[in-house]
Amino acid sequence: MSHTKEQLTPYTHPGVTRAQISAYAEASGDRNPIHLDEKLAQSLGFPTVIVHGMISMSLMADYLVKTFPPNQYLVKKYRCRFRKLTFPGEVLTCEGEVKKNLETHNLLISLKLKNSSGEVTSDAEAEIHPHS
Amino acid sequence: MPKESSNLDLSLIGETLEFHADEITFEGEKEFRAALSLSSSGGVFPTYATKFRKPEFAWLDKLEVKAQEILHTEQEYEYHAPLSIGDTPRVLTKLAAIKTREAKELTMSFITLESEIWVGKKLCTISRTTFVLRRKPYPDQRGTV
Repeated sequence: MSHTKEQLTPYTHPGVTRAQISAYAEASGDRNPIHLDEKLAQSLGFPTVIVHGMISMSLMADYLVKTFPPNQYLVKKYRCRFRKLTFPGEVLTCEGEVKKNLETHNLLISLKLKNSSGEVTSDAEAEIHPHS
Repeated sequence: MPKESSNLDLSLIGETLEFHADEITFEGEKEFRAALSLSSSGGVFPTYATKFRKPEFAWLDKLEVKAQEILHTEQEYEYHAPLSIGDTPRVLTKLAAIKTREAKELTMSFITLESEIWVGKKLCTISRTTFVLRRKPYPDQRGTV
C-alpha cells in the first residue's frame, strides 16, 4: 500500500489559563478538584493545579479541525495519550505529520504536544477520511 | 468477591452503567468550544463526548476511588455516526478492564472504561478512557506500608 508523508506546520499555544481551566471544568462537567483547587493540588504533591488531559486532547483536535476542514474531511478515530502533566501558563507547541494512503486518500495524522523544554506532554493519532 | 491489591473489586469487570445525557444544544456546544476558544467543526466538536462521562465518575464511586487518586492517561474515540444538535444521547459505560502493576512502594492500577454513545438506534461514538490509580499497598497484603 503506497502512501505519502508530510510534516504539518507547527502551531504554538500561549498556555492554558486558570480561567480557561475553570470554564472548561464547567462546560465539560469534569470538576475534579485537582484541576481547580490549588491547596488540594499542592497537598497531593503537585506544584499547582493541573490542566485536564482532555484540554490537551481538545487543543490537538482544534489543530486537526483547522488543518483538515470538516467540510472536506470526516474524523473516524482519535486517540490521545497523556504523557506528562501540564500546568497553567505552560506554552505548548503542536506538531504533526500526515500519512496519506494513495489508494483510499484516507489520512493518518500523528500529533505531538510539546512544552517549552521540548518534552512531549501528549501525543495523538487521528484517522480521517475525505468526504466522498 | 475477588479484589486486587489496590483493593478494587474485580468482580465488577464487564458490568455496565447506563446514563441518559441532556440534549445537545447549540448554546451548550458553543459554550464547550468557547471555554478554550476552539474552532467550529461544522457540527459537534470531536471531543464534545467528554461531556458524557457521568457514568465514568459513577464507576469511580462504585470502585471506591477518589477523583484525586487517579490520573487520566489515555482517551480514544471511534466515530461511527455524527452527533448532532438536538440529539439526546444514551450512554452505556462498561468497566472493561483493570490491570495492575506492583512496585515496592506503590501499586498502579490501570482502569479502562468503554462507553457506547447511542442516539436512538444509532451508535454514534465509542469512547475508551483509561485512568491510572496509584495507591500504597494495603498493610494486610504487604506487611508494612
